[in-house]
Amino acid sequence: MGFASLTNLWTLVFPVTVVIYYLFRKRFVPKTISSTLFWDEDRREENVSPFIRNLQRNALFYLQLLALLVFVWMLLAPYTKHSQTEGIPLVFIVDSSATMLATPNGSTLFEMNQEEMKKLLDSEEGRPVSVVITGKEPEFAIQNSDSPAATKVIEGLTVRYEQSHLDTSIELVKSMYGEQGAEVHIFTDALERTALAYEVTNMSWHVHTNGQKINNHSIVRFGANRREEGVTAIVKLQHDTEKAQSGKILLKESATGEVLAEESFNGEPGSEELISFKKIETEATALQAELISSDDYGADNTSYALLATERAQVVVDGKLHELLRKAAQAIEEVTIDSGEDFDEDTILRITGSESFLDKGKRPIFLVGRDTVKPIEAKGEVTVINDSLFSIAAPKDMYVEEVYPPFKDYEVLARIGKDPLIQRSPRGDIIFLADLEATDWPLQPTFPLFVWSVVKSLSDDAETLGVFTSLQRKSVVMTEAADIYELSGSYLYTTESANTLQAPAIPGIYKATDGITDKLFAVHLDSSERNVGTGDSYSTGNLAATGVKKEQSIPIIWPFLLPLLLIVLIEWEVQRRRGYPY
Amino acid sequence: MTSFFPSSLSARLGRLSFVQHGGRLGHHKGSHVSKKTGASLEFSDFKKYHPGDDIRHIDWNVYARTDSYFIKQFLDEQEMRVHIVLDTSKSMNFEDKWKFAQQIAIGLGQIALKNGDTVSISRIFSGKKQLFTRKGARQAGSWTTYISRFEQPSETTGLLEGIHTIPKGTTLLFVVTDALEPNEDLDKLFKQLSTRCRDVRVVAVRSKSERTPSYQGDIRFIDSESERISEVTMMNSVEIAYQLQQKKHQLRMMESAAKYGIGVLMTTPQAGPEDVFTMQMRRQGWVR
Repeated sequence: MGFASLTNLWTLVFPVTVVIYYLFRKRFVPKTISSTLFWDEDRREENVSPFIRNLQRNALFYLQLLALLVFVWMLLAPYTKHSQTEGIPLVFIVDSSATMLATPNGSTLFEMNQEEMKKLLDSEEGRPVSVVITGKEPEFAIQNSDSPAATKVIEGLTVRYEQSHLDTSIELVKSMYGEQGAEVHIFTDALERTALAYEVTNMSWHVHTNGQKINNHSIVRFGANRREEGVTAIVKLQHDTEKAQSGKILLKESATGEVLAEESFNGEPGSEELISFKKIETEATALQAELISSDDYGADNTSYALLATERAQVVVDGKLHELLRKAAQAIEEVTIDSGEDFDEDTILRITGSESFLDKGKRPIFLVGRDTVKPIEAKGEVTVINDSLFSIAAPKDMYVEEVYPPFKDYEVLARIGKDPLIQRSPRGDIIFLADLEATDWPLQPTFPLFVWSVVKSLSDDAETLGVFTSLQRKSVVMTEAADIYELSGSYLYTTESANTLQAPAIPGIYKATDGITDKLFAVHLDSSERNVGTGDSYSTGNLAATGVKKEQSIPIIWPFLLPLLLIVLIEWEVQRRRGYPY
Repeated sequence: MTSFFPSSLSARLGRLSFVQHGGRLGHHKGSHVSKKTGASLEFSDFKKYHPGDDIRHIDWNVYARTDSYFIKQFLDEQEMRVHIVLDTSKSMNFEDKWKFAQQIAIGLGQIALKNGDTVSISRIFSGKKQLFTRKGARQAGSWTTYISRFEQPSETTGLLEGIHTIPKGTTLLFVVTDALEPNEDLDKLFKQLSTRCRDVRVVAVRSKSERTPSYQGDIRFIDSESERISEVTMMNSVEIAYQLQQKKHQLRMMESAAKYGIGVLMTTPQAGPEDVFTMQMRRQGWVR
């Protein structure tokens, strides 16, 4: 013999409860009094009705009969049929990239898609609905939910500017619904049929695309550079239009919005144009270029640039430890110095020669000294809290001997009491030991330290560079940074000191770690500058489409609960009347 | 015996006399002289002198012989015949109700005897009626002894059964009961009583826990007479309902009593017999 659902054994709780209830039942204490005249005056009225009297006398019998009838009824296994609930899952993949902001007909593609999704939901009521929002890491806005909840979620969706990475979202949906089967609707601007060519047969795909040609002028590239004679800016335009449409480009200060210069363009269909601004006098750290024209897609009409000095070339002294060279090479292209002349103002020098401390304007990375003799080193390495060590601080490092320190230079790390790493007022980083005299190059913290040094010395200290929407990058900050808009309103705080995820909306932002403020720009991804146009189509074959499953839902609780209640009442009656007094 | 009915109480009762409400007159000779010719007066009894009695009725011959004052009383045509019906149903045997009822009966009898009236008491015992009649002040002792020797009540019959024990010619009828019977039965009883006697007075005795029950927990009440069962879980609301039932019952009882011109005195053993005679009955206008 076996039991079909042994898990229902927990219902034993009910009879046990009843038995316990009986064990702890209240007992009536018999007491003879002169007359019960006033105690049962009310009950005498009940006694008048023979029907009630009969019911009272045979209550136990009737209750048991009723309980048995309910039990028999339950043995018939009553159920109701539901045909609606078991529907094929409906999945919406919603492209939330910036291109969905294109407005071919007065409302954005995104809004049009929202409307279409709601219409679909209205006609497909009763099916579980999932909504996937695209992105590098696609996410479910809602999963296997009912239509009203999904409608609510869809109404709350916004464009996230991030590149769509539709293939990732499609893969996600495939892996989740591949076996079960699903009806997938993709809402985007354009999607090649080849993107959906694969073998899974029990999923149907419906691609809703933008069928209309978009009139679009876009700023493809915008760069600005500060020179001695002023700021030079270059704007590259692309015209995806059918007719020639002229317009103008405004060069503005990001912080104040002040227009610095203005140029017009011709806007030949399908052409590219280069517009340059020269000798612009401004002290602003960030500029923006704005395209003014009649245009169906506005998100790519503004671009931002940080006025940074160009990144310095890294020059490594050929005589230095090979592992140092390797570490520097891992970061970017380095030049090995074998005695040539360099413009000291444009390079970042990693050297072992003290003489470079006085040459040029840019700080250097000095490893060891060549004018003094080293002395024996003792003790543990200790570091101060500096952005140089925010990624990896040297630890358990063996140092045989150190050079005497420079006077009045800031000490960043010590071995025992002796300074080990110093920083000059100009910003030079000095490591006061020969790399051969330590085991540091063999440790994993060494290349990270070199990276930090190169990053902090070569980058313009005031900027963190350029990000695309929601991009995550490594940065050098002492603490988790607070992100502000340029206008000063707080946005969020990064998760850790070394990584920064950019905001979604393009613009200039400020990150601060409490010590320094650094600007960074958020650009549209280059793929977001073109709004695609494609046909809507359907593909794939949903094996079970149209077949509505009928499911029998057994009704147990609505009968089980009264049954238990009846048993409970039975006990109460038994307790009162079942025993001879 | 003295503890059952203290002599100090007897002394106090000696000053009381019944107020007659019926059309018939009292028996004091002096008070009716002007209306009646008084020729038919016949010696009836001696009554011990109490301050306030008419000194003209003092029998000086007796005083000379016994050195104590006695008042000569004469049998009147309209002599007062007092009868007491004692409820001997089981319900009377609850807490201190029975002793109290006995005390009431003794007291009523003593008042009557000291006024020279005929007093009788009837009760049902083992299904048979028992009648006891006394007359004269000197019979007070035997009256007290007789009643105090009454057995515990064990009857299951109602008062209606005892109606036929009431002697004819009773001028004043007292019924000592607890009136724990349905209103319909009481109404029937009152109707019967009113045909037997013109002046009926009911002393309803209720013990303390009958008036205000103070039970706790779950109780199965058993009726002492009918052995009917009533299960009650004591709660405040239940007590209030009880009080309400009692009040309703009392009101309806008073109503039917008033209908037949019957006086009802609700009393409780807590008050004590002295208070009942000297205060409650006076207030009721039964004695003076």
